[in-house]
Formats: sequence, C-alpha cells, structure tokens
Amino acid sequence: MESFTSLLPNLALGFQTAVSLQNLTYCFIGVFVGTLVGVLPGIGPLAAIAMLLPATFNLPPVGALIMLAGIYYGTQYGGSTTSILVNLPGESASVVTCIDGYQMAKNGRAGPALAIAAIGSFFAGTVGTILIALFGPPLAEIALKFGAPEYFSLMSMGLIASAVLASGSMMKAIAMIFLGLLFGIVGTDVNSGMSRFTFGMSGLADGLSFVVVAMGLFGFGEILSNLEKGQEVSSRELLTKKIDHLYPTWQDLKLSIGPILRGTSIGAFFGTLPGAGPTISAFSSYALEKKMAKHPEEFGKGAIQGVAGPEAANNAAAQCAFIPTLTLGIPGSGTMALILGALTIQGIAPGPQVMTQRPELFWGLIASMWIGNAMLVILNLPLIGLWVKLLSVPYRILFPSIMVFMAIGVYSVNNLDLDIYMTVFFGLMGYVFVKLKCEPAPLILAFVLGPLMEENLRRALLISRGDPTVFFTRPISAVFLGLTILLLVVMILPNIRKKRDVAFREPDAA
Amino acid sequence: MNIKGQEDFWAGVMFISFGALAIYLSIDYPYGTGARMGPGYFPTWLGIIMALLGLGIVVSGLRVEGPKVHRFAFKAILLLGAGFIFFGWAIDHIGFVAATVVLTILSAAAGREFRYKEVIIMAICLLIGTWALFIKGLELPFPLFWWR
Amino acid sequence: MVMQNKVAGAVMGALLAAAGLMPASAGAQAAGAQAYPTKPIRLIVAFPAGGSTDIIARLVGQRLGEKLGQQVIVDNRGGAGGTIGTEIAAQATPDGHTLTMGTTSTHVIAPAAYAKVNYDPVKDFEPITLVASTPYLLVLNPGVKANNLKEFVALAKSQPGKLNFASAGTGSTTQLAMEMLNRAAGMDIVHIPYNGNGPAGAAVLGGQVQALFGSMPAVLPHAQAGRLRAIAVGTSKRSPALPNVPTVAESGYPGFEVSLWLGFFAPKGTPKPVLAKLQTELTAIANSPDMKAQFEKNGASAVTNTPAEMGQLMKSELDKYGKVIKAAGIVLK
Repeated sequence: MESFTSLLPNLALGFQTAVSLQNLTYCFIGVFVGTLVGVLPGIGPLAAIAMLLPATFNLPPVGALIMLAGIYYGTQYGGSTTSILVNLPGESASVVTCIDGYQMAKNGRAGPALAIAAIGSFFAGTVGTILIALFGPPLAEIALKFGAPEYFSLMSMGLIASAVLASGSMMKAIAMIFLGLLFGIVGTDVNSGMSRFTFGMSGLADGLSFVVVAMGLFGFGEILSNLEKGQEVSSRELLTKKIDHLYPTWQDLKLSIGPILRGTSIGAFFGTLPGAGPTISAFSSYALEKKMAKHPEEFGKGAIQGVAGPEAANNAAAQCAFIPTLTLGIPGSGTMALILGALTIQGIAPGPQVMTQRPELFWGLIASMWIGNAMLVILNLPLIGLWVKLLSVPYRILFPSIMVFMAIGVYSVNNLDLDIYMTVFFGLMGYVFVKLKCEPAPLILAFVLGPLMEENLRRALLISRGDPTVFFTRPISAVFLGLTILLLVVMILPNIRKKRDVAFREPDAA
Repeated sequence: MNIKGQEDFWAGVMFISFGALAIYLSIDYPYGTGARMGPGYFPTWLGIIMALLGLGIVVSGLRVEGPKVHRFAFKAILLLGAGFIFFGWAIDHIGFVAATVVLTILSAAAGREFRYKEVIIMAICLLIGTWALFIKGLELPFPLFWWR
Repeated sequence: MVMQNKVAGAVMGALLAAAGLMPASAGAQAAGAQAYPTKPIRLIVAFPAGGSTDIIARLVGQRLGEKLGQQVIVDNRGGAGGTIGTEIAAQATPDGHTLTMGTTSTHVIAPAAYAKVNYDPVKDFEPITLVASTPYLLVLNPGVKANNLKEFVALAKSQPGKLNFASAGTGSTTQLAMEMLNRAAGMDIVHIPYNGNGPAGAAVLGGQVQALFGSMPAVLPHAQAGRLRAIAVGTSKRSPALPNVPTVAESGYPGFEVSLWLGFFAPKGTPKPVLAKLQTELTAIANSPDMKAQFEKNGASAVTNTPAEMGQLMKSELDKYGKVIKAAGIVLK
C-alpha cells in the first residue's frame, strides 16, 4: 500500500503525465463523448466505450485509459441532464435524479437543479479521486470480503430503504416493491440455469433491460400523462412555469452541503463493491436525505437535497468503481470489464503490480480523473442556459423528439424489436401507475436489486449447505441485517400511529 | 358496491392480478426446499405476498374516500403506441428513415395541435439530426432503407 | 403539396440508390470472389462487448477489414449463452457480408445443453477457420492446502461435498471442465454458479469458494500475481504463459482436454470462392506475428485450420461435452 509519504511524489508524477497536451486532449474527448452519451437516453457508457474501443488500440495505453475513463464518469454528468429536463433517466443511477430533479424543472428551477447536480458531482469526483489515491488497495481488499451473505443483507437494506422513497401510501409503495421484484425475476435464474417468466421469448432470456423499463415507466408514461393533461391545458403552458434564476441561491447551496457530503461517502462505499455501484448509491442517498430532512414532505415535489445527494453519490460510486478494477483486476460491471479488456489488449495486466510496474499509468489516470471532473464542470455549467432554453420549446415539438430519441436509445441496446414492444408495455404501465398514484421509483429499485438479492440468498444458502445462521454469524452481514431490521422498525412505527389517525381521512395527499 | 377510493381499488386489483399471474407461472418451476431453494420458491412467495397486499389495498379502496380516476387518454395511447411499435418493426424491415419519420408523425398526431407544415419540417430535421448523430457519429448499425 | 413533394423525393432517392447498388451485387454474383466484398461486413458476436470473444473478434475483424478493403463492423447480439446472436447469424443472407464468431459455447455446448435451440451448428453454417483458442486454468484460493492437482484431489476426496467451485454460469465451459475433472478423479466438489467470469474470479479471490476452472484471459493476471494458485492447465500442452504449471493430462488424467476455440463461420450457402478467400485471409491474420503476440498477451493462442477440420472438431467435442452435460444433469431452457 502506498503510504502518505510517497503520495506527493506519486501525485506529482501523475499530474505530470496527465497534463501533457496529448493526454489532456484524450481526457477532453472522453468526457465530451461521455456527456453526450449520457444525455442520450438509452445509449450508455457501455455502447460508447465499445464503439471507441478499436480506436484505442492505436493509442498509447495511458491515453487510451484516460479517454475511456473520461467517457465512463462523463456519462454520469450527462445522465442527470435528461433526468432533470424531461424525466428520462439517461443512466440507471439517474432514475433517482428524476424524482425531484424533474419536479424542480416543472417548477421553473431546472437551472439550479442542473447546477447543483454538476457541483455535487464535481465534489464527489474530487473526493473519489483522493480516495482511490490514498486507500485504493485496502478498500479493494475489504470489497473482496463481501460474499453472498453480505450482498444479500446489503440488498435487503437497500430494498427497505426504497420504501422510504415513496411519498404516498406505504402499502402501495411496498406493493410496488414486490412488483419490481417480480419484474426482476424475468430471465435466466443464475443458480439453476432455468428461464423464468420469459414466455418462451429468447429476447427475455437475459431479463428485462433496465433501459426498457426505465424509458417505459418514466419517459413514455410521463409523455402519455402530459398529453392527457394537454387536452385541457395549452401546450405552451405545460412545461414552462416562470423560469427562476439560472443558478442556485445561497439557500440552495446551504441545503446541499450536507447531502453532497453524505452522498459522496455513500457512493464511495458502494462504488468499491463490485456489482453494487452507482444505482444503489443514489437510492440510498435519497432515502437518507429524506429521513434527515427538516421537511421530508418536500421530497418528491422538488427538494434540492433530493438532487444534490444522489448526484454526488452516483458520481462518487462511478469513480470508486475503478478501485477494484485497477487494483485487483476485478471488473465491477460490464462497462468496467470492457475497460479492463482494453487494458489487457494494451498488454497491461491490472492488479497490484500495476501501481508498482506502471506507476505513470495508475497515477496518471488518477490525476486525469480529477482533471476530467474539472473539465466536466466547466463544460456543463455554461450549458445550463442552453438546456433551459431547450425546455421552452413548445411541447408539441418536444415530445415527438423525445419519442424518437427514446426509440433509438432503446433499440440500440440489443437491436431487438422486442425491446421496443416491451417499452410500449411499460409505457402503458407507467401511465396506469400515474393514474392510480403508484410510484415507480420503489419498483425500479426493487427491479434492480431484486435479482441480486435472490441470487445471493440462494448462493449463501448453497455455500453454507442450508445453514441460515450464516447471515448473522458473519460480522459484515450481521451489521447490515441489523440495520435492515432497524429501518423496518423505524418505518412501521410511525405508520401504525398514523393509520389510527387517518382512518377516515384521505389515504394520501401525494 | 360503492367504490369510495377508485385509485386504491383499481391499484389493488392490478396487484392481485400480477400476484396471481406470478403464482400461476411459478407452478411450472421446481420449488426446492427452504435450504436449497429452487427457481420457483422466490417467485411463488412474491406472488402470494403481492396478492395479499393487493387485497389490503382493495379493501382500503372500498372503505376510504379517494379521488376519482379520470378518463384515459386513449388517442394518445393508440398513436404513441402504434408509432413506437411501427418503429420496432420497421427499422429492420423498411429501414431507419421510414421508421423515424412515421414515429415522428404519429407522435405529433397525438398532441392537441397538429400543424402539417411544422410536423413535416420537424420530421425532416429529426431525421437528419438523428442520422448525423447516431448513424454517422456513433456508427450504430441501423439499415437506412429496406435493401441492404 | 409538401407531402407530395416529399413522397416524390423519397421515391426518386429510392430508385437512384437501388440503381446504384444493383450493378455491384450483380457483379458479386457473377464474378465470384473477385468483387467481394462490395459493402461493409457485419461480424455478429453473440456475446456482450468486452468479453474475450468480443475482444478477439474486434482485433481480427479490424485487420480483416484492412485486408479486404471494406469495414468489418462488429454487431454484438449477446444473450442466452450465445444462442441469440448465433441464431441471427444462421438466418442471415449467405452472400459473405454477414459472418459470425462461433465458439465452443455457441456451436457445441449450447446445442447440447439447451432443450431447444433454433439453429443447427453443422447444417446452418459453413465453417471457415479457427483463429484462436483459450485454455482453461484450474486455480485455487491460496488458502487451500494443496499445492498441486494430486494434493487437491486427495483433499477433495477426504472431504466429499465440502469444497466449492465457482463457474461462470450453469452450462458454461468453466462448469463443464470442472465436472469432467470431478468425474475423472472421483471428487465431489459442489458447483456454485456465478454470472460470468468476472464474479467467478472475484469469488475465488475472496475465498468464498476454493476453486475455479477459469478461462485463461480472466485468471491469468491473478495467477501471475500470486493471488491465485494455478495448479493445472486444461490443454494437452503446457501454456507458454505459465510453463511451470503442468497439464491435467500430465497430472494423472491422460486425454483430458478442455479449451475454448473461436472461429469464423458463415451462413450455409455462402459461395465457395468467398469462403476460400476468407479462409486465406483469416489464416494469414491469425498467424501473423503481431496478432499471435496480441493473443498471447490475453492468454489465448492463435490456431488455424480448415473447414473440414472444424467440422471434425465440432463432432468430437459434441460427443465429449454431451456426455458431461448429460452426466451432470444440465438442461437449459
């Protein structure tokens, strides 16, 4: 492990490498493409990196890595833009940003939302970079200690936390969680190899694509809902209330400091765990902020903490996802596997030796990550004015464009027409959910976490040969399970009291 | 039967249906035991719990006042759905150009206002823009027309 | 009126384009391989981007495109163990402009393990040549008290049903390789499936399981770094990357051979001159020194052969893996 004494000379080496004109250019290309790809719904970093991969074969390894990394964390920045502007999550982690970010945009506060998202992401990116530099290898070692029981307990905690996401009826939120779990079952069961809920369609054999579900529920459903309202309201008034300041107020900034700090910690923690990642970081941050806020009822209606926290969380997670990849050679996700592949082609075997054998690669990358984050903030902040102007486009022109972008985005994932049809199905469901006041956020989180939870539950029992105490005897798992039970209690208690009070009043005000 | 809370009532019905469907589909999968769960274990229980939750929500819908569920925007559903479905079929059979243009037009038709000239211009602009961005820029392998 | 003009324009465009394309394709049919290829070639890879199959496909595809003068575009159609993409490739137009990267998984294991597969690996395809083969490496978590295969087998036999091995998924070669060893040595090591080579590697690194018969590209770096102990390699000859690791065959199980081969296939009916040209080019590419070096960096080795040999290989492997699949009771639906 690199100690603090060697940190400064290492960073010096890193910055020296990173600020060469060549590497700065690669960094810029990477973050630019990343932002663009993040803004486009459906097309994620995986597709972008896959496309640019052949180009990197001819680049020097440092430059290639810098560029690919730039694309990766750049997409997190871009993903928040569409989430806030048109309720379309560009990335799975951006779903959370949709909840309050889009409401803020509807209230004319798209500017502050976008700004806080960028600022929070930059802070998180900086911290993430420092964490990798200082604690990379030990953090990765801890991540390795996470076996099936630990993941199961972690996911359970995340699921309970997601019930907190809902602002309306608790019972409906829990039902939505279960529905999300059921949608997550669609596909091949890892532990037995059997296809479930696929109706014989091979396109479903690997499960429902997140893009399909998210586009359908959030994008399509929202458009249908808007069009319904549009029958009465003139389309011009639909999206543009009076546009407030373009930039956040002092009040906004004050409110955001806590969430950004907390979100960064959460993101750094989850990002290091292979497989967990930005999505669960963002959701956990949201749940935490909601519980900690002085006015939790504002959440879901445009609370800036609901944007600041999750955005910091998902960016921190994206940065820290490099930790297991670089220090251990274990990719935490498909995108990381691609980057790893690119490195391998370049002849670099990631692992602990990378830090010692190719220090300019490791530290150059770290330095360029920080530079990349800085570039992204510089890129994105001035663009806010442009994005907000985009919102003033009449809805009758805006929504067909969204439809086209959605269609292309969905189709580009697998080139499967089935995906498009499924998106229509989820669009209908999304619309029905809006009409019946069922919130989609808990469903999507359950959809993402559910399969991981079941897979790890069965795997843990398989390894322990059927012994359920393993969840409590392993310390890390016990901690998370304890937290889960605590959360459950904290949630149910006030509800029991509330139910007695509101027995004959309106069930929910959302 | 006076449905006091329509939203809850129909939401509950929906949940019960999904739960029942889950249980029905899971019968085909091996159940296993608590210690060695088969693929059917988890979904069966999910379905049962969800059906029960749905029942609770239905009951709440019958007893507690709630807002009415207003008319559905059928025209929008039909047009947007048709446009999207057409895109999914067309892009591999008659090409990106046709798919995009038809989707644009059908979507626009679902709006409250439909101005011919505007829609045509928008369709052309969208087509050129997306072609430049996705097919030229990102090199997505979409066939443009129906011949290869 | 705007509508009419637009329609007229579209028709004109269509006619012109069709006219432009027609002579080229007619020429390809008439002149055979001389005019091939006349447009970009679509290389279907039935696995997600970033995996070892994809990387090798991209490496070779890029070089092939340079040699043929037309771009080779990789089309990732992952899913269902490689069957989705392979099915699409089987149904493509056999004019030489659609090819696919077939592997042991798509053309031997999937047809044997899946209850229903919508293609026939022999009848629907023309094999062209292999380009690479990746060995499998038996690695242990360093905490396991066994330094070679003999000791490991003894350890496993003394604790039947106690040890665990990871695999990249039910029906994957990583599982089949281990099951074959299980049967050959009389061991009973329990199978714990994971979702791909990455998580399987992480599991054995972290000690959640004791062993993994992993794909070389995925586990080689860890073995070289000492984080995993490599005790045997599954090919019939030792791997140049790890010359000190004996083969399973040497360690007491002669005839044991498990490796993943990757090769190029075209849909049935592709004209013979096109196939011949591809075979020549691909063989040259795979045997070129820099491509060989690239493969070796990834733990793979360049292999080439003829279509006839490929057919033979598929037949013998179908037999070999079919037995293991049946014995292990693997049925994928």
